[in-house]
Amino acid sequence: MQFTNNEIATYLYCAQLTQTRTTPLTILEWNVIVKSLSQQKLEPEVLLTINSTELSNTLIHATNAQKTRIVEKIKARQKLGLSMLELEEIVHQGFGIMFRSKMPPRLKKLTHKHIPAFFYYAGDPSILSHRAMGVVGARSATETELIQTTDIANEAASHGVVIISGGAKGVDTTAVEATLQNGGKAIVFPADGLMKWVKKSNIRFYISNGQLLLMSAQRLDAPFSGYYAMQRNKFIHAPSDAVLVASSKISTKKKSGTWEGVAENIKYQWSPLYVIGNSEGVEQLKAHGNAEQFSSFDKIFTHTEPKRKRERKEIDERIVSLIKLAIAKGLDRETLEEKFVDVSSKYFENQKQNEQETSQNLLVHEQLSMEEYMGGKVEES
Amino acid sequence: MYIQSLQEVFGPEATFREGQNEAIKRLLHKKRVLVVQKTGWGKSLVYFLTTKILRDKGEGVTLIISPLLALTRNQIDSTRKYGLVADCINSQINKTLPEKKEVIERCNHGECDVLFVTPEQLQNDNFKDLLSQLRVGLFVVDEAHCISDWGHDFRPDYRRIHQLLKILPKNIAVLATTATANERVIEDVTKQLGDCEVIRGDLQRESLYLHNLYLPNAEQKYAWIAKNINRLQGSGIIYATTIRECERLAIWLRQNAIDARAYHGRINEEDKIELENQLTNNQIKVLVSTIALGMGYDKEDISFVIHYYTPKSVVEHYQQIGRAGRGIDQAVCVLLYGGEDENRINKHFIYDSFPKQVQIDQVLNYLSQNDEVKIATLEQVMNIKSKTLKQILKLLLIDGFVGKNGSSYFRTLKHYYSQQKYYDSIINLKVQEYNELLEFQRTKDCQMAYLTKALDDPNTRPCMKCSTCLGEAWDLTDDYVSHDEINRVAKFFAENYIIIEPRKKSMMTNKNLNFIYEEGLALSFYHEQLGQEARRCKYEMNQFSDLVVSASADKLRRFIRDKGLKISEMIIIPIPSNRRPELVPQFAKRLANRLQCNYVNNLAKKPNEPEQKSLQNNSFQEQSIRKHLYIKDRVNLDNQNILLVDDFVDSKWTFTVAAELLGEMYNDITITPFALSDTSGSD
Ligand SMILES: Nc1ncnc2c1ncn2[C@@H]1O[C@H](COP(=O)(O)OP(=O)(O)OP(=O)(O)O)[C@@H](O)[C@H]1O
Ligand SMILES: [Mg+2]
Ligand SMILES: [Zn+2]
Repeated sequence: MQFTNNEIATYLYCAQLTQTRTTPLTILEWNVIVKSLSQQKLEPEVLLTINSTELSNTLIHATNAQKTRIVEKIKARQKLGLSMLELEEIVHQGFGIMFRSKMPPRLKKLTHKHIPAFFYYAGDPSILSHRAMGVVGARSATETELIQTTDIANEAASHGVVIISGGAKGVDTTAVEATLQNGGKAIVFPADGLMKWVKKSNIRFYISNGQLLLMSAQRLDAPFSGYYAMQRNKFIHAPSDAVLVASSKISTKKKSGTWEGVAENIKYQWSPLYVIGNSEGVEQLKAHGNAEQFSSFDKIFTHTEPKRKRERKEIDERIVSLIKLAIAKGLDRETLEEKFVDVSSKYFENQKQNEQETSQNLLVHEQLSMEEYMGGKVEES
Repeated sequence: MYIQSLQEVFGPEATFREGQNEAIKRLLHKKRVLVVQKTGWGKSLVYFLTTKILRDKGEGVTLIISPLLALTRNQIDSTRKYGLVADCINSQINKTLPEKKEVIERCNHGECDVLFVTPEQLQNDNFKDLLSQLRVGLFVVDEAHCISDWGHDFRPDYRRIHQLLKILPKNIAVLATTATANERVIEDVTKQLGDCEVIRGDLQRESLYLHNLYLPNAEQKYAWIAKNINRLQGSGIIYATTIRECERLAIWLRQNAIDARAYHGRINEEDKIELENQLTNNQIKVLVSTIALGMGYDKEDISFVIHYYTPKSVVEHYQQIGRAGRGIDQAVCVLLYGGEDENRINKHFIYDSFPKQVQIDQVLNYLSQNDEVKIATLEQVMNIKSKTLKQILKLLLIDGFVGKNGSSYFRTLKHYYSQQKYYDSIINLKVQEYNELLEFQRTKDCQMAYLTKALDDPNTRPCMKCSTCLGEAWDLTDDYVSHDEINRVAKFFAENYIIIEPRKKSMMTNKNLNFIYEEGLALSFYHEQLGQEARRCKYEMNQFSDLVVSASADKLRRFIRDKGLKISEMIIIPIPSNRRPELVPQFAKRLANRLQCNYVNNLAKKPNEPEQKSLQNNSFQEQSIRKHLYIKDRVNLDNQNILLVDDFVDSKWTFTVAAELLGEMYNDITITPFALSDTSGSD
């Protein structure tokens, strides 16, 4: 993995880096910086060299209180470049970092103030481009609810639908295991760091099989945190095309994680909700018209399915006619197959190169386009 | 521009050497710089002076990656001159985390300006966390040819630095320095540094008088050294590659009234420091050293460097002779070459650098199928030499295929692809480099020119000082060695003891043993004449020759007497073997006859013991011997001094377990092991 100066600066100031005993920028602070810099045609890399006064003058979108805090945080880390040892180790062990510029649109459904400056991930990030269903549910789900979850997750595999879950015991794990065992794909946003996960041999197996993607905004060795567990609910609800609520309590004084996540989804209208079973949360969702009973994948994905099928058919037909043409011109099967591999691999290589070349621009562009999400105004935290 | 800073340190007359000023300037502008300049040129001045200026400006400290501990100490001494405070963190000096923490804190509080670390330290997670708190202004890789795979002396730990350089933010200046980078290495290092400036000068060392001399056996070399060393003024270094040779040569020189000391990896740190100080203060004539004291070491008046063995490459040779003549006008560098021994040793180092692919696969497969695995578990389930296992794990760690957590290892996400081709390419390169040096031995060209040319120096020219340039006029050494002189060495060899050190701990339980044998004796090393004779007797004749018996008797007589024991009062016990039941007992009986001492054959082995050689690691070996060896007759041996006799000794587990069995059975005994040949390290 290669990093640009902008990405290195982003990591230096936004990563937790607890070992440095300094505080990272919050998402909101980072947004303010990005917006201020972009308006002055500057890029995040200047944060590596800029002095406090200049920085303070540059932060046109920050309140005074924010300015002080940001300047202090930047100053505290500016000389700690050696702490990038952490980033080197992460990459060394085969983890990836997904900065905003590389995040697919599905993640951008999150409103600006929720998108972290980057995600750590393990596995193939292209899993994010598939159709996806979030699965959430209480740890205390009943046997019946779990069996039903298993069936649905199994079916997801055969429908090419990716399961997104929080990796907790109960519903989350049941769904993910079922779909993986059935050859399907899953994305997990665990509430603890990714390190513990990839030390497990079966997790590595599914990752190397291209079936599993783990993502986290937390440092790799982070212990379970209730706070982050709540935070990461939105990473499940927002990117999903639909969310299945398998079982939920209703938050009282004691908050239910599942319920809070669902409520947030309803508030921001991230994705349609489907339910099974008859837990109290599920009953209430149905009663208030916030969720539908899960019936079938065909029904959920109706609008997209026929169109996709049509497109695939069209591509198939074109390939067949090309092959016919080639045979007519006297190409034998072997040459033809070779040609195909050759041409397509060249194509993808070129594309990769283009990506690299433009990634610098892309980053700026992406950071700038944050404004869209900000609606032109910066919120105070 | 920075002349003022220079003169503050070196006096009002001081001037920069060409390139120093420029390098400093660029670094102060946070640029990346590669300096390739000859040994003794003053590469360290560049980073020390830059540090001084940066610190005056309130910048962070300078972090220096330095390959050898001796070099680090030497450099720390020289920082005083600059008014800088330097410290180091390594596995020897500040072992505990709080100690390391304190050093980092002093750096951040302005109480320390330069921090040296060894590349190995960068593998340590706890230490990396600490380093993350360090405010760094300048990052230096000294002896930077090490970060290139093509840069000789492949040090896996340096490979991580390559990746770190890619990620290090651009507000940290980076300096890489080396004397020995050919075009290919320069290209590689430049690529690793990214956008960087190369400052390069010629490599010719004007003060060095080079001499290559063919002396094909140890006796001749020893005689030559004894004869010549006092002709050479001042003090110097002899490079001898193996620890054993360093020790033996130092003893020989001391017998010749020359103040010589051995210096190598097995000497403890405190003694090393003492030896370094003695050399620095010219209190000893010569240090007989392995490469532990090689690159970078700076003492102004080393007046000779002698190579007992041919080094493995031109780079190593140029580096080592580079220790001489740094602040004086004349220093003599002699390469004594020839003999099978040196080829064997060098090839061993070259081919032994990487483990076998099957073993790597074995370790990886096991780790893939498990979660976290303790190293002790790996040793128990895998029949791999523990040294090899450690080497495998280290390489896998460095390539990111496994991770480490305390004493546990786990497979990472990184897809493994066989490294065999890559390893082979490095071995090939090493073979080429060695051949280049073999050619250098006999070159008809100027020796200095040969070296600088091999390092791609564009300004290569005849030195008019080496023994090739001078021909008959060379008179700095006396190369004739007489028969008498050679015989004296032969006698010394015959009298010199090869010690069998006792083991203290069980590998299976990690507890101290109940009984430990005395220092024992081996008649020969496997590669020596006597060792080969013993091998022939065992495998071809199944009986040891009279020559072996009488040589053993002679040497044992002296050895036992030197220990203050009476040989005739000792009891000889043979180590049993089911494969050759008569071989060792017969020999032991003959030896007992010759020495007129008692013979007791009371040890035995249960059947079906696997051959020792097939057991790759300590844990397996000890286990197997404990399972099979037992005492068959309870003759009373209380209060006796026992001589335990075997043919070959390698892992020492047989002696160790036999001694413990006897020691637990009898009261007040001593046990001294004796073997015909020490075969360790000769596979
Ligand atoms: N401009 C200078 N004026 C006076 N002395 C100098 C100057 N530059 C370097 N020296 C001295 O030369 C000696 C050798 O320098 P140094 O140890 O830095 O060599 P080096 O280039 O690192 O060699 P090596 O490749 O062997 O490590 C030092 O004692 C140093 O103080
Ligand atoms: Mg040096
Ligand atoms: Zn010459």
